[in-house]
Amino acid sequence: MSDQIHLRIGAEPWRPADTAKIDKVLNHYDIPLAGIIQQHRRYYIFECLDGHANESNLWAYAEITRQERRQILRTRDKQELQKLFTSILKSRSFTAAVAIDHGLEMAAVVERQRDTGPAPVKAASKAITRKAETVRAVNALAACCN
Amino acid sequence: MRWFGRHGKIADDEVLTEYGDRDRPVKGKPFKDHPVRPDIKNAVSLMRGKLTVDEAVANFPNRLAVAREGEGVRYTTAGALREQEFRVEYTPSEWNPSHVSVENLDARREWTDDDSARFNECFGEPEWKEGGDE
Repeated sequence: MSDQIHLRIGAEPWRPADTAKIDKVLNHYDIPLAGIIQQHRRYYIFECLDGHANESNLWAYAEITRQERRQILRTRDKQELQKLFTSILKSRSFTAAVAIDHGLEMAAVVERQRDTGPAPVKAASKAITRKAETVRAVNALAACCN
Repeated sequence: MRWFGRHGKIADDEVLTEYGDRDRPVKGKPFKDHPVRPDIKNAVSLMRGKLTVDEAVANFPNRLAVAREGEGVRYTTAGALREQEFRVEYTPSEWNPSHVSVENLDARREWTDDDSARFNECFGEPEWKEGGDE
């Protein structure tokens, strides 16, 4: 099985598939903005990377080990939580997704970055932009063939 | 509420901050004036204290304490909201220790346009970030 979370287009970003359930919400402002999700006995962090109070927002999902989950749950300081989440997203491939009006619209895998690579938000944004361009190109090709 | 508990009372004279965005308004409004997802929590989120725009955005994940131009804050007090018959509860989470929930006295009641009008009356003029670094 892939180490990427399974997402359903249209699902809420904090409950991104019917098989996913919230394990812990760590940051809430009108909607859950960061926390831990469980799916198929695996744990994933979720984090809103941008557009927190806007109609469209950018999200990240990365699988974590049970040890990392325990470490997150033990952490009480928001800056330490941010460091942990950023460190997780920079240390492995993760799934980036765009949501509009609380429904997931598009997702793309972000390959693991080099240590000196861009911040997760930039890597996620780039992966989504590339995916959107691919979709547009495929749609244009399909329109030509019809 | 499923995800966070209630932690202590907020004094009437405590200042509360609401985050907004004039350049990316939601449904035409830079500041929300009703619960965004009443099915999750029939309350409006605010932050405890008189926070600058930079301090407010720092409570969101992945936001350093640098707001963008066009992001803003407006202020009220817990007492002003209570006078307008809202309940004000301190509902922090690990990553947002400033979180405050504002709800109707009957939290099950649907939020009406009148509720939104009374809510908006509690706030002063917004302050906007100008010339942000991002």
